[in-house]
Amino acid sequence: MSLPTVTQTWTYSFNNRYVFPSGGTLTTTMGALMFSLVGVGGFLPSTMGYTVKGSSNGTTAGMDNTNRITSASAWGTNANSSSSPISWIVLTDGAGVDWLFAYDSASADIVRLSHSQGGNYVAASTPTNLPTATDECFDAASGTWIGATASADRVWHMWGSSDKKMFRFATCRQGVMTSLIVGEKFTSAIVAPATFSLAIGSGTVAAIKGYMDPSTINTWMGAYSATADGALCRVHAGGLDSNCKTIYGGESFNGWATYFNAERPALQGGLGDLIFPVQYYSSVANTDGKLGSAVDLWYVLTNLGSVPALTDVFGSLQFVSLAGGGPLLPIDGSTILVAA
Amino acid sequence: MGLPPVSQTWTYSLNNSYVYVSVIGATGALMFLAAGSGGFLPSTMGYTVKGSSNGTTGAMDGTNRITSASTWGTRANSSASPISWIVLTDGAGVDWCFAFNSASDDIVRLSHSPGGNYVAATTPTNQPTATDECFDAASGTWVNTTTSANRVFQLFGSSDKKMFRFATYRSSALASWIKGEKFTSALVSPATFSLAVGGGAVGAVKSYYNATTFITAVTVAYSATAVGDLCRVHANGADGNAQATLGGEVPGGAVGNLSGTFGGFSAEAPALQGGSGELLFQAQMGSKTAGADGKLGTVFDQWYALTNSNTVPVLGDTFGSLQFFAVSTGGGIIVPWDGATSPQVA
Repeated sequence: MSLPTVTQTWTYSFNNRYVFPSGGTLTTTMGALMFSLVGVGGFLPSTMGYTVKGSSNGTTAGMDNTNRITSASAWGTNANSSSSPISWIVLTDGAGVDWLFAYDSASADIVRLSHSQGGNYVAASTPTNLPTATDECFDAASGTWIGATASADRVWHMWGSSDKKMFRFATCRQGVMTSLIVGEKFTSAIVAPATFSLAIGSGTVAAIKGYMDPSTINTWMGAYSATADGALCRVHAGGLDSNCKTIYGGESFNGWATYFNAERPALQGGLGDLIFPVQYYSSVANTDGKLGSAVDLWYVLTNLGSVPALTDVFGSLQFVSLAGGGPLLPIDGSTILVAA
Repeated sequence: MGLPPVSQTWTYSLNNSYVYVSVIGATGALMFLAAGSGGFLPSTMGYTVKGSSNGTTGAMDGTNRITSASTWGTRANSSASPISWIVLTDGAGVDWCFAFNSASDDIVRLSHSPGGNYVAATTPTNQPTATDECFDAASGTWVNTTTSANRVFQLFGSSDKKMFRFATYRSSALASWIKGEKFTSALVSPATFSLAVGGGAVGAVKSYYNATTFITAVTVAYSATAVGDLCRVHANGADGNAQATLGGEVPGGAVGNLSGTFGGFSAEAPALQGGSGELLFQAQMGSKTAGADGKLGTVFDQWYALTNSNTVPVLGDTFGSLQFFAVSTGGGIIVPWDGATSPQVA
């Protein structure tokens, strides 16, 4: 069947590698990913043009438009506390949303990712500590970003939209995707009086942080979990500003991914997998309902939850599956590696 | 939230009551109302009568012999015995055959020929035949098997004569939701509605649902006797019947259908949709049939509601200013209503 239409102009940075050295640690691995993504000359601030609002290398810090992640080792100060020095950086996207990457976590393989839709992050009174925002959208630390095992090389892939309103990165270890993380716009489905215009912080933008550690469609379309699968967006609904905890979903027929008889349904010509756009829904009180539709993100309904497999491609290397049954993302004709 | 746009121009025949005498009388009343002389499909909607049988006289001669409810009174559980039947041709040239060939007085055998190929049997009062007949098995009850209580019939027809729908109620419960209609195709070549046998080229689906909840309407496997949509297609190199079921947008995980239960939203009227109404989604159809699996298409003017419960909205609920009607409990089937009539379900 025909492939879906890609709506955004994407820039790609694929097959970035960290060769795990003798004496390597999760901290050095994470430093390599973060320097590649947000450091000086990195994908988001340099290639995509996100604005550096401020940063900390754990020793010096300020919300002063300076990028202090000048090397992988500059992303090396980790603490499980908002009142201790850490590495952090705030980037402002094309919609004015602040994205805070902070090494405030219980484990060196996890970065705390949050956002302020009103662009309100300010430095803490001790600037090397975790910045704050009155409208911060965050609920709990995610699961692993790079895999919790201190061995083996990593490969990561990065996506950025030309309007600087969408970023995505996927990290792999030994043929397994450890995480897919996004910070991006989406198409709203909310109806007034529900709104993205927040009472506190003056944000008016629909922006969502997503985290997936998928192995099959049945896991990443599972119930919301900050540490496993889900997305988070701040909304004003039910008379309050709240964080809307969303789950992934979309069109299905009796039993989700196991529904059809074959991977390539006969009614679609028997020529390819049946592809649907990802939708966002929430069951949380006061933010329940349909949040919206993901942009350029799809899933596949087949006869199994595990096909297509991780790294299966569609068209002329136009789309790649990042887990069993999706998610499907656009690619540029490159072969995506999942092991170094 | 906003109500969905209605794409078809509908004619309604609503709140038709049958004061209970017998089950066969109830079926006769429904069939006379829907397909008999002066009835909804041949007269109000203009479907062409191709032929009929009152059990005594039958022919494919353009004559409607269902001249009263009692003329729909000859039933047999056999294709080789005299029965009441009628074949109506719709606006797309599809023949719809209603035949009292069933195991029980409350059931009518409904089938169709996308190529318009029904011919009378050698013995014309017997079950007609078509080389491209789309049929798999008898449905469940049409009027409810219980030998008591009045029935209420709601009939719907589109102005292009390509869609009919019947809902039958007994004691505030849905007995059956039956349709014969066009839909928006999702087929991709080489799959096609152009059949190798019979010359049909039309996407037409027969539907039977006796759903009582959202779960039984939208999230269950095909069953000819309970829930399902049947359509003849040419796929995987052969003509075959795609056995489809309703589907559409559903949240994943514990909220949706992955776990097999619908836990739903936090409220009947979700906060993200303004807290002012149910969240309605377009009904789709998909098939698991080997050789005819995949997405069949999109149903015209039919939606379902995702709420906080498997049982709200309740059967008979209306939306807007009597603009939409919940055919079944849980909002599994929601269709346009005439904007004026208060629905009766008992």
